[in-house]
Amino acid sequence: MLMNLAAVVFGLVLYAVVVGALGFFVTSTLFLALLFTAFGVPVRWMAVLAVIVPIVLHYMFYTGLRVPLPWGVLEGMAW
Amino acid sequence: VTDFVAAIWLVLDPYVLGVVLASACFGLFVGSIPGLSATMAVALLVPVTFFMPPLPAVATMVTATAMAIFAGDVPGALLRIPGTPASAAYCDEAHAMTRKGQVEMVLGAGLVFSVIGGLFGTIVLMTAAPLLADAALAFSSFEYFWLVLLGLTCAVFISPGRPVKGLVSLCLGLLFSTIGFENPAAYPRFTFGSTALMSGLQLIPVMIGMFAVSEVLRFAASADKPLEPVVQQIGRVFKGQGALLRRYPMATLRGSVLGTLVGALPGAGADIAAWMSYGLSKRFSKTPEKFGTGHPEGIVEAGAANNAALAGAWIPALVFGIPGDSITAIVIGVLYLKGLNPGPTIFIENTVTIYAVFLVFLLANLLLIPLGWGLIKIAKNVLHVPRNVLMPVILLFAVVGAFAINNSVFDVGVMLAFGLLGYVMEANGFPIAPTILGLVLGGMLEQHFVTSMIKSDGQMMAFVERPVAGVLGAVTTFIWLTPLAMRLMTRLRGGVRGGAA
Repeated sequence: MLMNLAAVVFGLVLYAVVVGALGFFVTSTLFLALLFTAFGVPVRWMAVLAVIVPIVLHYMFYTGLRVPLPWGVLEGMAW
Repeated sequence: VTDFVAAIWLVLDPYVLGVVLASACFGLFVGSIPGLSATMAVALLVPVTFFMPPLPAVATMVTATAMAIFAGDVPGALLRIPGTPASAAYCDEAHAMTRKGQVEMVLGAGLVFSVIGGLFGTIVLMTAAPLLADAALAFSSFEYFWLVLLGLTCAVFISPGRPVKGLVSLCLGLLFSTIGFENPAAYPRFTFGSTALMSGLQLIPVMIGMFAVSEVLRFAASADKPLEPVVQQIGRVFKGQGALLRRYPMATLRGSVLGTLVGALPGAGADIAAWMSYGLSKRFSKTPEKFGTGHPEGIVEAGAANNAALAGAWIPALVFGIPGDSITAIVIGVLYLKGLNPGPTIFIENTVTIYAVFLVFLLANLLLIPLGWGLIKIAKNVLHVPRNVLMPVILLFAVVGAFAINNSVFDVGVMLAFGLLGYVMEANGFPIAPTILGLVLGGMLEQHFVTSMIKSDGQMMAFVERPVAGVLGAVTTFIWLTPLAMRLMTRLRGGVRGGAA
């Protein structure tokens, strides 16, 4: 299970490094996809959740709590 | 009395009530999932409460913890896996009762005696804290220096396992607390030229790392087995609870008192209270041989103890700013952020808010009756939530939370570093609570020491000249010397025996 441990640490490091450039949505989706794969979540669940969860969190923190989450590559469609 | 009425109106605000209800559901969910603890619930709530007014912010934490500690009993009974560490003490006993077909009885007892313990602890908090605060108004930096030192001492010696490991853990926390330039001389220490470290480690990313990320790491490192609850149908849970209370009134009282006391001691919280209570219950029981075979007595006592400990931990936290457990260590950070600086004057300057917090405590424990009943009814479904989906989502939430406090990616790194540290420490039997206490109290300890030294013009004797300071100093010294003295005694005795042979 050392692989899973490595996946979590690697995922977090990667997140911190690329979130500024890629933005919240892209990074979070990649992050969830990586961990869901490592933990063996079925693919169709993974595809749905990796997209929906960042949207919910973004709504909570960006719209609700006004945290300036970075947009990164999606700067053009920022709201 | 007018303050009290004002406090009631504060609590009856629909926004506050809504927040209480939402955090109650959150607490029940987190508590009932094995691997997610009550402390983790609070750590995850901090980023959200960051943007709330003081009362609802504190109310979320009070409610979520009260709910989570009870909810931890549910998977203990159904799966033989404690939902939170506070239920670990009587998990085998609870599961044994379930196997005997008494699942309603054990879950009902967990619920009813959690509420009783929680209410008892709250009432002690409401009466003891203001009295203690009155006495503490006369305290100077000398008394505070010893109080903090005594708190740190308790954290080392009460922690499970060997005191040496607790001491290492404490020193680690004290070391981390020195980072930055916020010390009496304003000299930057251990910053390694990093501007992000100049203002010291941010408490909240550290807490999220230590209590949320480390749990996810532990989950990742262990082989994941899907959870399979054994029971299909759960009937009437409140049936027979009155009889249980009439049969074990002493156990209920003992558990509540011990829980409150252990909670109030720094560094020991609900989990240690439950272990001590369960042990005590077995020792005082008329039928100790029944323990472990599915006997409700220990569950009654320890179930009351772990909920009583929650409120007990708030006593030193509010009066002295010294956290009674890991949860209040986080709460103190939030109190400072909200301008509710803990200390004896909090009862004078923020009377209404503090009364309102007490009322939330009462409300949360009463709300536990219907909501806890609801959780028991749907427990089977809750326990089916796949943890391999849940854990990555929690991790993402933790990342966003750590980021949100200062909008800084550096804090995400801090979170990861302390997550790894927490995981490695737990895996090797080092308690985490002393590190957290050292980190929270290190600055305070240094400040009171330096202030005292300046006031006394460098005279060390001034630390023991005032009566209260003298007593606190003597107690602290005594606790540190006892293990050494005991070791010396056994060695001397061994030496004599060796000489005789």
